[in-house]
Amino acid sequence: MQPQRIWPKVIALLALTAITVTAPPAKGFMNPDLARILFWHLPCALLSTIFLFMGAFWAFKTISKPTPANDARLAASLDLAAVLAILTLLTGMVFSKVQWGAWWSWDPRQTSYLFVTLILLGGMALRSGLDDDIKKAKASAGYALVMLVPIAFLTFVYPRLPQVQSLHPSDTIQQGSLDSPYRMGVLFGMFAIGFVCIAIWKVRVLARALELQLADGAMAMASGSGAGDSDRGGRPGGPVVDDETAS
Amino acid sequence: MPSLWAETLAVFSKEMRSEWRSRQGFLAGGLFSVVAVVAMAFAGINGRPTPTLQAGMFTVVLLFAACITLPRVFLVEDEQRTIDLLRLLARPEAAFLGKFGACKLQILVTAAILASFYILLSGASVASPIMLIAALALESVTLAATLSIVGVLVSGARNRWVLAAAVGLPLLLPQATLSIGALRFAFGEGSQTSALQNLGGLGLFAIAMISFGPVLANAMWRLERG
Repeated sequence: MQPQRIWPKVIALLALTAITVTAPPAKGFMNPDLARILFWHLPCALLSTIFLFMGAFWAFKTISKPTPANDARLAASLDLAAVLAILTLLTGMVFSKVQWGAWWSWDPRQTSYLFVTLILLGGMALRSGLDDDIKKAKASAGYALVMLVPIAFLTFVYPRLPQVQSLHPSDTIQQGSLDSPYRMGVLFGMFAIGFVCIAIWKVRVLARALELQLADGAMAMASGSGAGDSDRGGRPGGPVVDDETAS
Repeated sequence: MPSLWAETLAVFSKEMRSEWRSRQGFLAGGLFSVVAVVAMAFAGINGRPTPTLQAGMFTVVLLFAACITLPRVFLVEDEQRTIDLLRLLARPEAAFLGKFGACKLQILVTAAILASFYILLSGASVASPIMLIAALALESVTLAATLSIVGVLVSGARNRWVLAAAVGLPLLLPQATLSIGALRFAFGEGSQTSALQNLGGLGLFAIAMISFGPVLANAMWRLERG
């Protein structure tokens, strides 16, 4: 990654910080000033769900064609989804302490999101436990598809069940009940955090591809043959860097 | 070539025979359940827990008993290096379904032992025996299907026994909340409508996992063969 390309992401995050500091206090909250955490909390939650479904897409591709490039994209998507989910939980806990008086309120939405985070961390544990690259690619792709069932239930069904009473405001964005500065702030937060996350995703995919190329080169040198003749040692077939990643 | 049904039945009877000889799964699961129930009954010696708490404790014990015993059906093949032979003899879907059947039977027996001992030792009153049986049956199917999938995923991993529980438990958390919702009515709290909704959720979970399992087993094992 070129050093000068970091600046747009830094500027985006600084702009989001500036918006957070300067936005007017929100009405209807116990602590109106600290309601601005919404600019970080909501985009992290939405982006985590987007990366999760992106992971499911790459999981489907990996199951049908387990190439290192597909596996790298799958791993990068799920890792980002997990990091964003943790950030959502942390910002949510701060919000909970300030607005509801406790770090953890066992609110149904808060609890279901904790379950989602644990499911995502389970995927990371599974990846770390497997050595064989083919097995790792296929197992994490399988897990990413299986986890869609409980995650879809926890994210979309459980919090909306009639008997579930949540402190969380429901469908705030869809109903348009956010004030204009807050709506714009959340949208900008989505853009800024999403911009940074996509950059991290690309770097992760490229780094994995380079790592595999280096390993192939080292193996070829050790065996005294050309890189093309090297044994791929339990690695999924297909190009290490494909045209999409290289571009 | 034998039909899928015949292959599934062959794998199932092989698992049952193997379990009958060693009785490892039933003994480990049964003993764990009994010990856990004794500990729970002892903890509540000075006061009877509420039906919701009873349902919660009951579900948690069944969840842990399943995580300890069920992945064994898959992992033991991996350790004895007989999985490749099995894959040569049966289609991946048949191997999965046969093993899932064995897991289902094992957890049903464990759930029955657990429920009997729990009611006997804790003196819990069952307000709706039908709901208790239905919830236990559906929960057992969901547990068996999910942990069979986990067994397929973690076979070949370094620390597969611990990993099976670490990967399986988060996937089973939503199912546990549904099960608690149904069981609390069985123990005398909550509405029937809510319990039926939870039971429906459990059923949908079971259908999703049973449908996905053979497809996943095929994707995981088919490519390794080629």
